[in-house]
Amino acid sequence: MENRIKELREQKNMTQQNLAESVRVSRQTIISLENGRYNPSIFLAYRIARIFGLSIEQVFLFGDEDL
Amino acid sequence: MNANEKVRKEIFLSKIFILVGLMAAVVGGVFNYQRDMMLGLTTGFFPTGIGLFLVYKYSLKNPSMLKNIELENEERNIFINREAGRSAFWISFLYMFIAVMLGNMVNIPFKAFGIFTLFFMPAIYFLFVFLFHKKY
Repeated sequence: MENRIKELREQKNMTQQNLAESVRVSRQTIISLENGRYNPSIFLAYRIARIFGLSIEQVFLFGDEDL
Repeated sequence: MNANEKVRKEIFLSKIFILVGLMAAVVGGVFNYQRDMMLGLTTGFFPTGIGLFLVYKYSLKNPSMLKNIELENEERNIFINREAGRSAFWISFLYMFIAVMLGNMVNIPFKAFGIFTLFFMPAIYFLFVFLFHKKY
């Protein structure tokens, strides 16, 4: 599953640390998410999407193979 | 689980460690039952319990430490610990299977095997934790 976290974070001029603190995870988790190494729980996905004012589907891009 | 709840659980666990250490000291020191083994249990459990108790008690008054504990319990870490536990279980299972098979051919002293196993199992677990921190 791909995501737009890095793109959206940079648009908002947020650092990885800022975003991590906003969604109550470690910076390492944000790095893993941005690199696509880790898929978040629905709760974390929702918190991240809410920070950007978007829906989960707008932040996390589901491919056919994910469904 | 929030950080305060986690700290309370760890403090409870530390008290159990202290209690086990003290009980072993009494059984070994006062009743002279399995003195060497009880001394081993006391030196293992008692300082660990005291250390855990002090660290977690202190963390309740220290917001930055509490924040670190909260981050230790974030979902990615929980995921990694769970995956490491699952992998370590199957490796340990395979290890025991091979040991049982080998036991038919080679005479393995039980005590030495037990001590080695006690080190082997956590070592495998922490190895997987380390590897999965790189992977995820």
